[in-house]
Amino acid sequence: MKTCVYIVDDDKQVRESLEWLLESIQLPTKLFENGQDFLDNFSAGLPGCVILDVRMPGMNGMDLHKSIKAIDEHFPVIIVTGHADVPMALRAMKEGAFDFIEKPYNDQHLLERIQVAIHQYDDLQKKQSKGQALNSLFNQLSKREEQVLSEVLQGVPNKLIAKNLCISIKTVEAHRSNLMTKLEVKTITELVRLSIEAGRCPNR
Amino acid sequence: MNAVEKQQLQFIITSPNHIVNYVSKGAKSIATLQSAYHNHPSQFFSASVITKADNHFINSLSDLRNNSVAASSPFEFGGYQMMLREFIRSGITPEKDFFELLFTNGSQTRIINAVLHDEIDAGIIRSGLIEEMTQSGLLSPNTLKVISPKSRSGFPLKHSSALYAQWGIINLPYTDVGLSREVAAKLFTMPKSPLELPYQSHYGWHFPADLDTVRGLLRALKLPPYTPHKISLMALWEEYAFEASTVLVLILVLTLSIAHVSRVNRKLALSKQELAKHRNNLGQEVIQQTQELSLVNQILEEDIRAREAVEATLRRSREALQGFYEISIDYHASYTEKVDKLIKLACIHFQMDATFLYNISTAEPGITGTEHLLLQSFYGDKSYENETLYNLKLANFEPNSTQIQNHENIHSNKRLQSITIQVNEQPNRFLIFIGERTKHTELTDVDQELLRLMTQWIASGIERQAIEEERENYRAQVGKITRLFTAGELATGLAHEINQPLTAAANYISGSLIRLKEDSSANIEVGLTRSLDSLNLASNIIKRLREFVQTGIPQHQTFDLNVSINRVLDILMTEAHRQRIELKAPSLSTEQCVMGDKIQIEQVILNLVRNAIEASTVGGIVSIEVTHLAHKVKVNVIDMGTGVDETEIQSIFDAFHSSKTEGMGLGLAICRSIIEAHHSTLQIQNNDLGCQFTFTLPQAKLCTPMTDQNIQTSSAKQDSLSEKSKVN
Repeated sequence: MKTCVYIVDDDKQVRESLEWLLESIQLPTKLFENGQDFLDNFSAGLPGCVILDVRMPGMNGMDLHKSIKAIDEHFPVIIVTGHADVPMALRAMKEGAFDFIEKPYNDQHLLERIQVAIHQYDDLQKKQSKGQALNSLFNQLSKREEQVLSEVLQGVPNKLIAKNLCISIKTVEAHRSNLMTKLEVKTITELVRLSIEAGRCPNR
Repeated sequence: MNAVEKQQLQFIITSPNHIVNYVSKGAKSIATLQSAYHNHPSQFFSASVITKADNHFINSLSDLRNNSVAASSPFEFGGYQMMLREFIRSGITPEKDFFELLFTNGSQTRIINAVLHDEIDAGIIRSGLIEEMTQSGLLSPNTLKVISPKSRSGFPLKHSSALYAQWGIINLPYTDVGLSREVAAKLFTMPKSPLELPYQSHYGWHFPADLDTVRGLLRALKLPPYTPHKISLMALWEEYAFEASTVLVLILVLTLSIAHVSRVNRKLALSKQELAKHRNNLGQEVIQQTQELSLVNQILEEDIRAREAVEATLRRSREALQGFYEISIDYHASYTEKVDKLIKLACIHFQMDATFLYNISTAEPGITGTEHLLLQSFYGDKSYENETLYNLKLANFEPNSTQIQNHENIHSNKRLQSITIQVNEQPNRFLIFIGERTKHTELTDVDQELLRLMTQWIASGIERQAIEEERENYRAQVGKITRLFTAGELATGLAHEINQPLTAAANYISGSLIRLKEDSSANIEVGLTRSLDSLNLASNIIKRLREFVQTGIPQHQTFDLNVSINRVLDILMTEAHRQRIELKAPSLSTEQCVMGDKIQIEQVILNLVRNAIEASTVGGIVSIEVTHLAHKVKVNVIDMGTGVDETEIQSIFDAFHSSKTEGMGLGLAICRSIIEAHHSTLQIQNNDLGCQFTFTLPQAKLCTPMTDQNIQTSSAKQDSLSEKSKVN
């Protein structure tokens, strides 16, 4: 899925001028005349961000924002308005808007914020997908292997692990070898780093 | 009879005359005795008059005159009574015509013996006695003869009278019917005597015989029950009480009448004398009366003249009042014109030479020197002005007096009359009339009232003018404030509208710049053109707002209402569009010239349409209709919204009344105030779909020629309209 900036505004001029602006920095855009049209085409995990106008007939920008957050709470929403007030801005930010920008705005600032929003969301999504990959690696481990990994990460020597788990040293060594193969690591340092990334490291 | 009265008897056997009597009192004959004579049973018997057979002098009943006759008893039915009838029939009155009438009071055989012994000439006996005595040997046959014997078939006995029914048996009114029947049955079935005997007085019982002959006899002899009543005074009175009393009353009345007539007669005679006396006096009296009448007549004529004078005064007053009324309802005249007319009217009506209206100086109330008086209005000869001022100084009228003040100048022969006009209970003006002293008299009560009425009217006019001025100032101030206020409200609304094109323009320009940086030959014409369009749009919006905010002094001008309406709708177009509400305005192609303050009227339309948009729901229509009336143009602002609650219709125009959470609720109050300043009313009415506001404006013949500014505005408007259509 390609990164895209979604523009929801009832004013055709504003929609099309934004398109002109974003195309100048090679950002693809999709234009929507009202909130419902956008919601019909939106699903969680789409890369990009959305720019909304607050004052729109039918569903207004604030309601649309809520609806988007209900579908994907991390999707970046930039709210622009011609007549902003503090309570409205506060509400929008509390409800998780990425930014609240007053018209007329500095185009450069808007473009920056759009790019930041897109990157942050992209990073988040990447991070989320990496975390998912780690989890699947760790999920391969058997119960005994998990117990052995936990002891290893606490720096317990094999001899003591065997004693703690009431198994032979040889068995401990076999488990260690197996889990390292499963987690695709060769050294104990790699194992520790991977475990930290996956949040498996016990707190001291 | 006592036994009957005591109801001791049930049945009576009696002679036929008694039977008739009882039957007349309610008894009933149930059987009659039968006798048998030589095999002939008969229910009848009779009487005979006998004399010696050898008496040749007596052969008929009339031969009995002057002879002595005997009978058993005057009450005996089968004897004297039967014969008496025959005597009467033959014209014989026994008491008078017979030599002697004897009653033996004994048996009839004694009569026979008396006849035989020549003691009497003739005797009366019952039929059959001779035959009985002859049969029993007591009498030699053919020694006696029956005078004027009658013969009847089936009745063989010798007799001189008619036949009458035999004795009979009767029951009484109280006798039980069953018993009567039983007795009758027994009687009829009783064994009868054998018929072989040649004669027998009793043979048996048979059905009751006809009693009519008996009744005839009794009636002829006036015997009971046909006895004539005794004629007594009491009986007469009982019989003829009514007639007698009537006669008595008549007699009385007649007597009284006669008495009265005679008295009247006497009186008449007296009257006649009196009349003669009066006739003599009458002549004198008539003369006297005539004199009195002519006096009364004079008074009446005077009265009529006075009344006519009053009527004339009243008529004049009425005419004056009528004139006054017409002046007061003249809508075309200004107040000053009306006052002029009124003063003229009053001057003519009060028959004065001139009228002046002076201001009373409020600086030094109470002092009425000429320097404090200012001529304001007059009617009549202006040359009186100096004279009036001069006399005013002399008169020194009291301004605080509510009375009509009078001043006479004997030297110049002038009369001044003054009345103070009070405004807000303060002396404000003098109304002065001047005229010839001798010509004019005091004002009548009616005229005084009229004058007071006029002064009150003038005063109320002055008060009204003052209020009107105050209201006008207030309206102008409020109008200015609210125009700014509305502009402020509008500006807030318009901020968004202006931001949009500005934002768009900035976007286009930024986009174009970025493109140029990357590639100096990039095609940015589209972006720049569009940004220019957007900027034009923004500037138009600002221009429109500025036009609106420009406040002018309220002035009456003629302008095209349709242009104004479209101008207002232009301002509201975006707002309406956002709510998806369609605005319908009259076409610009026709002119609709009206008179009024253009800016104010536009403000009213703006307010009304904004209200209509706010009241409407998505997809609604707000339309403005302009219709022609006579000399007027009617404007309707119609929406399809929720309408106005009936309870709120009264208060909707009040200041600070608002159904909205924003705004001060002044809009409609100001609209109404403005429309009222244009001599119309702002009306609200719920219709089928929503509600409508209506007002009228005076129509103008021509619109003011378009000024440069107007042309500019209208072209700008055209631009903005085309812009709008493009964007939408």
